[in-house]
Amino acid sequence: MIPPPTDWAELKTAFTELVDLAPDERAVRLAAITASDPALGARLAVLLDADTAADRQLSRYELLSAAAPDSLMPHEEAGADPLGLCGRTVAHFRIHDVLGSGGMGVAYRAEDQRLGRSVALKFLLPRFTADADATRDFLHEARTASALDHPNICTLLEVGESPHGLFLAMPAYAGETLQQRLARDGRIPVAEAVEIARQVLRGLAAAHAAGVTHRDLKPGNLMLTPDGTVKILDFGLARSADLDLAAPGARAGTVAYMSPEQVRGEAVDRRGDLWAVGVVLYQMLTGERPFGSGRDLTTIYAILHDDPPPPSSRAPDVPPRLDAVVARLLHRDADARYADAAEAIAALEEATAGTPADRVSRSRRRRPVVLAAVILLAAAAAVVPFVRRAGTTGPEVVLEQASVAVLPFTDTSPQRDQQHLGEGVAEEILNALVAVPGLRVPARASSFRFSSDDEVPMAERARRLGVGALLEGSVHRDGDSVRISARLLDARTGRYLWSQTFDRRFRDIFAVQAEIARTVAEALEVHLTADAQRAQPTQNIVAYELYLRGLFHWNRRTAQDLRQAIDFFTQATQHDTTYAQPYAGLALSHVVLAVLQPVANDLPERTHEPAARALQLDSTLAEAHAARGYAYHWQWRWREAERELERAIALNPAYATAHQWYGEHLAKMGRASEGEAHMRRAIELDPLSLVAQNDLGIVLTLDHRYAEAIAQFEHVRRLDPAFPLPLLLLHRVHMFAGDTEAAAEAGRRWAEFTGAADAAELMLLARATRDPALRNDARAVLLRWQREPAPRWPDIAMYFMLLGDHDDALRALELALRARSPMLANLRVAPWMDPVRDHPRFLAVLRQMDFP
Amino acid sequence: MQSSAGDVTVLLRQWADGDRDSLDRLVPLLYAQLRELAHRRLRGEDALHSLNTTALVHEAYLRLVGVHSARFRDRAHFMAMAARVMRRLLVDHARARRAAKRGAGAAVVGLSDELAEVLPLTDEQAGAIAELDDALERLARVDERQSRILEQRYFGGLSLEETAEAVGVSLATVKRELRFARAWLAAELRGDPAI
Repeated sequence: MIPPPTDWAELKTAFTELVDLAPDERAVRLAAITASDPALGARLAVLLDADTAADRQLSRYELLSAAAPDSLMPHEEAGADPLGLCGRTVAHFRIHDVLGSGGMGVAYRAEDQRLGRSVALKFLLPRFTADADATRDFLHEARTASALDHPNICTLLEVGESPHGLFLAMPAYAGETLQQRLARDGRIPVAEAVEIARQVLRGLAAAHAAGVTHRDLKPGNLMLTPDGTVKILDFGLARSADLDLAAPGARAGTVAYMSPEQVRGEAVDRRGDLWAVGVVLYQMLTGERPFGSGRDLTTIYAILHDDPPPPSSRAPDVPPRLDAVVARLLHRDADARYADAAEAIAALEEATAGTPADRVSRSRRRRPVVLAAVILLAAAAAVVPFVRRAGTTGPEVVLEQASVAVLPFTDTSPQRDQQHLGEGVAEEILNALVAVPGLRVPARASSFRFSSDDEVPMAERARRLGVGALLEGSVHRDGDSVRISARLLDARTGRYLWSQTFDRRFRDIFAVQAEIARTVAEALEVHLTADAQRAQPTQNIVAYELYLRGLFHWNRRTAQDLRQAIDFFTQATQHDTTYAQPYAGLALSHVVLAVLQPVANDLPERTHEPAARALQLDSTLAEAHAARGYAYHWQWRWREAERELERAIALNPAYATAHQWYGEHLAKMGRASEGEAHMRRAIELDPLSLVAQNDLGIVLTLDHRYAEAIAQFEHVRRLDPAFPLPLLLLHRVHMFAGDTEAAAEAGRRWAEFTGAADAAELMLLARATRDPALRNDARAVLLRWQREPAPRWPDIAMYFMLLGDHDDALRALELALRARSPMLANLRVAPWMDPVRDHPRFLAVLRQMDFP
Repeated sequence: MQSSAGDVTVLLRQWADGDRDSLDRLVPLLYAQLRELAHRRLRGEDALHSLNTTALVHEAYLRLVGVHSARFRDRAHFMAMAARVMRRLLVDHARARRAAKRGAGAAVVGLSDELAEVLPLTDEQAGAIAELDDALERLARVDERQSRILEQRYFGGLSLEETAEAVGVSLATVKRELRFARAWLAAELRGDPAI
């Protein structure tokens, strides 16, 4: 049936010529061929006929061609419940729903009924635990990994056994995986990509140092939490036996991240993880995988043979110096890669030094602690050393310092109505400890950001707060009887250094607080000074409880809470007119309320009476001095402001708020670098304080460092997306920097989030700064604002300046001066006023404000 | 049967260098891999996934070729070899199955029951594979290139572009050749006597 080769070639040519002709024409041609060569014509007729039916007829043979999927393995998907565990209880976990399933097993969202926290439970496939040896190895690895205790490594809370197999409990992190992020955004901005890679490498460095390699690093295993921390998941769970190419499901979608040695089935060490970081970084920078995203066969071939194009050739905004880092991570010869993760971090930082990527990194890096204290502390023989590095590129500085964070005590009272007591007790202890020389205690705003039902593991809290020990506890009040439990936890080992329960009457509360503070100090081998053990401030237990309630609301910082705080503090002073603290609380509440509502400008003045009364009772109260100083600042009484804030810092050098306000004051006086230093000191003392972080952005803005300011405000956004203030400041700084669209977007989000402004108006104003066609509409908005009952003249002046209407801006400024608007305090350095800085009218306003 | 990495590497190299017999010795090693997969699968360890046949065969191939990574001249070569190995595997499997149906099971060199379960070919599929293989054999005698193109498409699961690369011709040529080859195959498989 097979014709001789010459005929075959002839047949093929004729077929190709005829097959796409119109039927009529084809019939004519076929007839002609048949006439001259009947055999050829007959074969051709059969083939042409077969061609029309080929698709249908051959479909049954297409076992592979049609079926070959892009990726050979099914992808993880949420929803299905293969183990049928939803709604059931396993051990002490109540299982809710499926988070996802994949090669490792199935992950569920569950509630730890014992501790009342929500967790992720991973049930492992039997393959991972097929025999006793394998189980033991697995548990060993899991425990080794969980002992790593690094902020960039997912903590393992528990390993358990159940009739459904082994399971792992881990924190249910908020956020999304890098895989989800990439699926949504495609690419990641360079600065952020570098920061993510840096954090992953930091986690790897810690793991590698402990002898653990990951071996299955991929975007699906990297969790991006809302505060910007990257968590490496499933550490140590991937064993080589489960990762070879034969194990079905074990390598779902992961071929793309395998190193050449892993693909070849050779021994894989830490350098395999570095390769995976290279692949992930490449993908973040360019939006594409370096070795293609096609089928596994193609990918494997590329991994073994191809050099991917440099990232900058695919994404022009990638600095070429990053290409070299990626290429080194992706060197096919493991020996030619970086020797370890630390070296890769150093290279990454060097490659991005001086670029925006660097500044994002720096602002996220904790500042080294003040060295002056360290020399003294070396002798203080801290039992809870906290070791950290002061930047990785510079010389390594290892500091040991006794440090403890006091967490709010949990309220376990029958009515659960003693939260203020739990916080108050903790705060009193914190205040006593702050005064201890040689002991570092993060300020309240940071340590109290973790509520007791928070999911953040203890070790992670300690890491974020930069402390070696944590004090936690609970209060239980029933009528006059109160039980206080306190525990001191060594963050490094997870062991309790000390714990004790006190059953007392409520009226003895001061004695208990002092006792706990003293015991903690002893456990940390530092000594309470007489100052810290100061006499109890009031004998009046009712006044004290009212004070605690006031404090509770003061710490919430919203306008409504501040008014409630003022109520409670006022009542406290009525019960004990000699009790200094509530007066200081009143002063603080008034001044912060004044800042929140800058228009009602009698509020700063109201600060002074309680401040004076507090200081009359106790002249060493730093809070009262600070409140008074900040009030003076808003009242343009610059020298008095400076004196009071300096006094507050002298009285309590660890008082973060005083540094923050002093920093703000100095920046507005034109002393930018001093102001920045104090602001950074405030952040160091209170690393999670949103207002301090936000104010740093303001200081940078006033210093014309817009890119850094933007990075800082973005950082604050990541710390707490529910804190809207940075949006308003981003709206402004983007306008100063000339990015009107970003300014419009930030303005819109601020307006929609807070309802404090009209989104369309802010967007119009932002765009009008660059678009003359919008000027008239924008002016109309500002003219309308001027007719409001209490116009925000400084804002109006700013927008007029940005629109180029200098006369109107100066007029608004003069009206702001007449209204003594507190917000004019930044006028001396306000960048938006630069074009009129030498204008006689502007100079006249400045003169009247009497800047030093 | 467990093979040492050395055996596989040597065989792959020989095969890559043109020693056709080495494929005959490679395929049993591939079976070993498949059996291993089948074993795991029957233990229910990948109950979460329903692998299709393609995926399973790819797995086995990757295990054999990817892991032991013979040096391939280029990607096309690598892909072409994949298609050939898979063809051999599927065809042997299909023939063993058909032989077993006819009662000759034990005598046929082939796959264990485990493998039959893990590669659950229907009678129709087994028949189709055997027919396809026969047809490609016949085609190869007159037009080696066309036979290879069909092999890449039907057994390798390659795209048109990949096929062009694997066979070393332009995309237009692959399309043209494929059009003819498919017509020929359709005619051949329906037993049309005129060709």
